[in-house]
Amino acid sequence: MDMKNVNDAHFWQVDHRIKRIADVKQVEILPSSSAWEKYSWSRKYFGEKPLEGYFVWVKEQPEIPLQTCVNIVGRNIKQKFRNLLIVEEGLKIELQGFCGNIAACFKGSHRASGNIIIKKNSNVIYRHYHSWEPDNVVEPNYEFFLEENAKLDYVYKTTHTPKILSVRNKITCLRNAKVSIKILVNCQKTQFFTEDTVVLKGEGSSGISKLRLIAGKESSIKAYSRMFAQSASSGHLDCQSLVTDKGSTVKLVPEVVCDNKEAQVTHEASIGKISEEQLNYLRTRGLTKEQAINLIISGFLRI
Amino acid sequence: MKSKSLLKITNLHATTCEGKKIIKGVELTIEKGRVYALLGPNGSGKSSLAHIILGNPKYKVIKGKIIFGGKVLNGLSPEKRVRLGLAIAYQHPPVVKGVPLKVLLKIISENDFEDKFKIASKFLTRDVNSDYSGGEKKLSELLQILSLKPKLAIFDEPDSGLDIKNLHNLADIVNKELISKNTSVLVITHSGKILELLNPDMTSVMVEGKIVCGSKNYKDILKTINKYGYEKCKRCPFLAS
Repeated sequence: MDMKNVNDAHFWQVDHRIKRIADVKQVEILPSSSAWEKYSWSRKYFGEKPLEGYFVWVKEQPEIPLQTCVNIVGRNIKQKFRNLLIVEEGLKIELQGFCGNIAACFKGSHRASGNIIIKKNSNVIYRHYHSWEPDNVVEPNYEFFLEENAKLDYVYKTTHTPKILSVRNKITCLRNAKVSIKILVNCQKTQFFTEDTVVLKGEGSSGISKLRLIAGKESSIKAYSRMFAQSASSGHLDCQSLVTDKGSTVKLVPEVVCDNKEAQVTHEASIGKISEEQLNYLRTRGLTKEQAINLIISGFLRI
Repeated sequence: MKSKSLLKITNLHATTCEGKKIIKGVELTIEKGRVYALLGPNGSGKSSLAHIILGNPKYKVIKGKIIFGGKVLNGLSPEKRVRLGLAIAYQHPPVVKGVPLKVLLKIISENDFEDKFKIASKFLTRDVNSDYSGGEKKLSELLQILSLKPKLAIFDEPDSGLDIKNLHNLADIVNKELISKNTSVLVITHSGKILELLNPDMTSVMVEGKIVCGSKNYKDILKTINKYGYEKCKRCPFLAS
């Protein structure tokens, strides 16, 4: 989703003001506060009445990908989103979420938490893109719940990072549910914390979690990636980081926990620098050192 | 007709960054539009010489000059040398993960090159050099060279790991797209298999960091090497320049 095409968004909010909620036949989209009032069952997810956020209830098969867009343009804006997405049984949906600044703005914060419920036999492809000005604090925190045979392909990608970024995801998989989660972040002058937890609760469930993190320009990365196998299930954690700056630090902690003798969970982790061989190869194709580094980084983040 | 010198290397001495001497007084002149072949045993410094010409920071020039198109290359970055008209096809090109060949070709092509890309349609969308066969690697390198439109194209062991059909395909493209268009070519080869397909104007032998002999007739050189091996080249009065 392109930030310039906000008019395509089915839910669009700027600062604290909802600019657009599209009418989609198969989907009910409401401000979270309205959903809290309209559907009492939603309160078990929302808890207290939310101040802002979106409620998306996919009841039937939509014909187009769903898009949400949340922006900050003003100074000192403190967003606090509480979102709820529910996908009914047997549907196949694509969701694109974009959050970021569309103007140079300062001292803003974007805190978003939410629940994503994917019911039996449904398949969700979710692309979550962020792009922020440096002087912001951003904290997305989501819980995904995959019912039997549900599938989730989730990518979180940030190309322009704020000074503080904290990304948390917890995914619970019931029987035969499958999740693929990718966290792709290019940190520049950023304190980045991420924690993703996959719980393989049901028999036959499986999960793959991949982290690709760039530590550039005085960044600090702490990444915890966890996989809990509570049944006969399989999972893999793949954590990789490239350090492109002398003043940056990276800590990657993959953790696999197995509570079932039929389960198999594995992990790999690596932290390295940009390969001199690759760099020189691209320079002998006429790219400057900077262009070559940017291309290698974009390739590293393209998985 | 007298042709003009495009690349002139005089008394070149170079080491690795760790200080190991690998090039020990190389003299080499390549004229515009000519095909030059450099033979030599493994470890003789042929590939290192190619990478030094391109400015690979793994090596240090400690003495001598590399002049290309009248400009001294010593101290110039690889990309500046490429912009002056140099290009190299690697023997063992590295994998660049997440970067499809098509993307790289588009970045380095100045002009619309889509027609040429068609011959690599099977692997254009795959990451650069990732899981390529031997033939695909050579073709990918060749396409990158063609995209750069160089004045001098250097091929490092273009005949290694290629079957006869792929070797002929590669040589056909080099002849048609480079040699016939007056591009100079330097072919580095251990086996010499490609020479009869490219018919070089000059062929030399490099041993232990030095060019020890040369001839305008590549067949004479190959005949001697096949008969006596590379060691004999050092002492061969018949071919000594």
